[in-house]
Amino acid sequence: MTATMMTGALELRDISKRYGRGRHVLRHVDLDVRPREVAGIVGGNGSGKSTLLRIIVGLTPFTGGTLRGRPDVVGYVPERFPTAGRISARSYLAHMGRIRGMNGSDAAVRARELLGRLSLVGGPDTQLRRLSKGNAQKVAVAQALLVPPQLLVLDEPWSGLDADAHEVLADLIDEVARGGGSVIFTDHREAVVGANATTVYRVTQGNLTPHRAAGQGGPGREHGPAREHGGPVTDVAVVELVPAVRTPDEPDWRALPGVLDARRERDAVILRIEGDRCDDLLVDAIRNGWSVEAVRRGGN
Amino acid sequence: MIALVRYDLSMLVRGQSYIAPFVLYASAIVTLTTNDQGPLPRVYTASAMTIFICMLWLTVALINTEEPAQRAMTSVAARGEHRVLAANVLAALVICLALTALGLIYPIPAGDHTWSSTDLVIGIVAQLTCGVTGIAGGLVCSRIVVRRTGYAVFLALGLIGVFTLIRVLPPVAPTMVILGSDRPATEMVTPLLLNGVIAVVLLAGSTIAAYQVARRQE
Repeated sequence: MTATMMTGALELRDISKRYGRGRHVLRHVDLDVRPREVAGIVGGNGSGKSTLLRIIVGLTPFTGGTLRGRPDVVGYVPERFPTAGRISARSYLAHMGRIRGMNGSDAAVRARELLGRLSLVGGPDTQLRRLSKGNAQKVAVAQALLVPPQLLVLDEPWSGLDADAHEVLADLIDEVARGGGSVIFTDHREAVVGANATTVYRVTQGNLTPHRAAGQGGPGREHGPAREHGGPVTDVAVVELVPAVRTPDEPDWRALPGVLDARRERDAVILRIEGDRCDDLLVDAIRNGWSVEAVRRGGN
Repeated sequence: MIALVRYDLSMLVRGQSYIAPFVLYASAIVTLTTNDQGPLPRVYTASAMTIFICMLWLTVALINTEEPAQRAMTSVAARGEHRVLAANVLAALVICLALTALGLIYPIPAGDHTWSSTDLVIGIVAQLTCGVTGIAGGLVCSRIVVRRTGYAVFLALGLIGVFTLIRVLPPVAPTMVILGSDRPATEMVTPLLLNGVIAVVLLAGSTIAAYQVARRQE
């Protein structure tokens, strides 16, 4: 997958946003995102992350500053995709493809490919209103990628997705970046942002600052040369566990502290873990009847 | 733009929110014009009044079919909220044309009328005038302007009352007055066209206002 055209950098200068005479939601935000760069924005609830993304894609007007370099083909995935629509996922994506200039058959083929990769539960003929939060999120991701975007903007895209889709989404982001597109995403978890971004920012009370977590800096996902404002915020380990007894105790892996991702391959469980939590988790796993097949530091 | 209009109409049809206003329109036309006699322009009073109310309702249904988050994605895909709003208006006009055709043709075989091409022109202009005014009203009652359903209902009822009861306020009430008068059909065309122009201006103003309010709320 390649972006339809290489573009220049997206450039935000001194962007501010306030509603009426209320408090500033964003203050003097400067941000540069270049092609092949994956910018992760971390921040708490109400910090201004979503507003910043809506400004970047052109949905929300800003009250001060300048924004340059927004490309023509932008993919946007909001934090939630609630819909009561009776339209099927397949038809919805076909319409979105046509709106983006594709012909119907190309849109259908691309939609089938994306929904297949994301493993939409229920299949593409499921009505949108019948989709769970996670599956609706998969449709939202698919619509943003129908035409390879020059700029992909995702608001907390991992929330609600199952473990397998986490990995697929990371791959899709990687493909956009490798194809020459820019990616900007938010999450409230530093580990998730650090593991998937080449550049990390933090939003606090409307202020955006380049961010590097203290004492960290191992390699995360590698998308390209851009690492202007800091590397990944955390060291990541990939661990493969296999049963050491017939029926080992199996916890909800993704709920364990430090686990970024969990997936199954036959009997094996493959976990992506924050590096500093790795040893503790391995000890617990061995006690619960698992054997450590492999550990790889700094991988994805 | 065609893709957006097609998407709007598809969402409306699949969502079934068109059924209630459409049934209201069809039953009003059938009830009020079947076995009717007399000059055709007077018969079109019923269809013009009904299309005003139904187009207001249908325009709200058309726009509110999409949740705000879904509309945001559509706006980004279409490269601008202004394109999505323009498509909403065009889709509503397509529906208006379909209802106009029904309201224009049904009374002829269903009643006992002598009619001329001038009568048909009068019917088309009068219904389009009221339908376009309904679309203009629907835009300002839709979720992009009024987020609370209750307020939107009261606003819609208020607009219907104002436009139908104040006889001097163009374009709906004066159109009714003209259609119900005893003047010859040829003398109705020009004043009806003037009201039609006012309706188009109202629609343009309403579209701009809806866009501005929606942007201001962002």
